[in-house]
Amino acid sequence: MAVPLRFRLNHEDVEIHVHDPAATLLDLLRGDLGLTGTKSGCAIGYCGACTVIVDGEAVPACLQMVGLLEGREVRTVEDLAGPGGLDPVQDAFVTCAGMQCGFCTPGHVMAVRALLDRDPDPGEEELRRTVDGNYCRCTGYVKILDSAREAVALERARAQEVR
Amino acid sequence: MTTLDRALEHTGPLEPSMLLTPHSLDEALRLLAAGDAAVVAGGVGHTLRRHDRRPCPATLVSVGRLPGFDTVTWTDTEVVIGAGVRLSALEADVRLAAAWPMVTEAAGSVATARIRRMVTLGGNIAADDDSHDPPVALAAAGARLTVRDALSGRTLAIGDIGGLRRDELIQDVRLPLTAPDQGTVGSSFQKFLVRGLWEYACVNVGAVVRLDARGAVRDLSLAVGSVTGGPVPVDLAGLAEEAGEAAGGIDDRVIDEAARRAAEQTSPYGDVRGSAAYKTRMIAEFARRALTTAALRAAEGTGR
Ligand SMILES: Cc1cc2nc3c(=O)[nH]c(=O)nc-3n(C[C@H](O)[C@H](O)[C@H](O)COP(=O)(O)OP(=O)(O)OC[C@H]3O[C@@H](n4cnc5c(N)ncnc54)[C@H](O)[C@@H]3O)c2cc1C
Ligand code: FES
Ligand code: FES
Repeated sequence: MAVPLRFRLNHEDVEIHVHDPAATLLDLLRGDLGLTGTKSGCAIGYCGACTVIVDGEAVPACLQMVGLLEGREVRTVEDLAGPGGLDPVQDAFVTCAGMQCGFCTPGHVMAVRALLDRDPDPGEEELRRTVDGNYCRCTGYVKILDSAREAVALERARAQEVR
Repeated sequence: MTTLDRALEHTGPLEPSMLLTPHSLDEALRLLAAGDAAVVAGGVGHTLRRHDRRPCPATLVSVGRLPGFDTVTWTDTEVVIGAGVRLSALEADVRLAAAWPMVTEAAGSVATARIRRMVTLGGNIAADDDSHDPPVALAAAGARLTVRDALSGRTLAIGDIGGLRRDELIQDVRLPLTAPDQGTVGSSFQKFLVRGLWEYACVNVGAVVRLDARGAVRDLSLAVGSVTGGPVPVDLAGLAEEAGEAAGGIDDRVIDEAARRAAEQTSPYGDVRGSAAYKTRMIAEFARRALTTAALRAAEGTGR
């Protein structure tokens, strides 16, 4: 029996019927909603590729039970780019070549996005902690950290432009 | 022992679960009393079970967002941590870090920051997994669990969590506080990671040193995890008295003897993180480190 589930997804109220409330958000996004920007690496919380933002916090979608999302707010990587172009965090990853195969990238981008939403001026330690928990088998993390630093700079520049 | 990478036991389609979302603790307890239902808090443990195709109860009762379930309250004699408090919040609690650093250290050592935002303290304890970190610290600290069913409540020591019934839930975790004129407490949690990276512990140890107002050792406590039946409290009988007599706090002989007993009284299992023999040596080493740090913190008098 399908049960209704209401939550906000990428700034829109959605009501969907789920067959199993214990299914994961990762399966819901990729399998049912066709939002395949969120990647499935390990499905057990290890790799971080599936990271999305729930109520402002970066969490692995593969560990998030959909039934626990009732009334909550979810953002996926599809939400970032807008009519004005890429999100500063995405821009930073492009500028610094913070990816090779790109599989881990949506996870890193969402984690850095959540960090900047909470703290627009994070320190180096905080950036390193944010990258932790998201395996990258290609880059060696140097360019990912460069991208995270660049994201802080771009975000600051954009905030000044708006002012 | 936790194995996240086991070969899937059953590969057929999963039976869907029913998820109930009560609005109060009493309502949650009534739902649990009705039968084949289990508590779900952060949902991480249940999601892993489901991934591994291990049997899951047909009905889940969501308690992670119950009102008042995720608060930390302080009295003169204890700190009461709601079972729904997320490990990320616990790790960041500055007041708790001053009183019981070992507990914030253990919470902060679990998995990654992204996962700690989901895992609740109650879920971590109720999983009754000997490799989990917070229960090791809580066992050493002498924490008590407030447990409720629909009709009554009781308290459990961490080591008695195996006796938690299906119709019960952990409401909160209580840690004792020491009045300033009663002396000082120092504590430390040590988690040995063989790769130096976040993962389950090779061994994990919590230690507490209590000094009286004159600075003499009043009480020592050690608990060891990632061993059969863990967390195992180490029997340190007579050692506090021996240490108390030595002027100037706890000396190396006492710490060595405590570490020796920790190794002797525990049965680690061999796995990918090390053989049983290797872990026994690591238990002694990390017991030594935990007690040394706890003693220093007690002597500094701030808990830190
Ligand atoms: C990649 C990864 C790495 C991990 N690494 C570590 C680690 O290093 N150290 C560590 O300690 N843990 C680690 N964990 C395990 C994690 O802490 C446990 O899975 C934990 O039990 C999840 O808590 P939860 O609140 O999400 O659980 P849930 O799935 O909600 O619950 C877990 C169990 O507890 C029961 N339960 C929950 N709340 C209550 C309550 N209030 N009263 C009674 N029963 C309750 C549930 O019925 C269920 O049986 C890791 C997990 C993952 C995925
Ligand atoms: S797919 Fe979720 S952490 Fe790997
Ligand atoms: S770019 Fe390939 S895994 Fe990170």
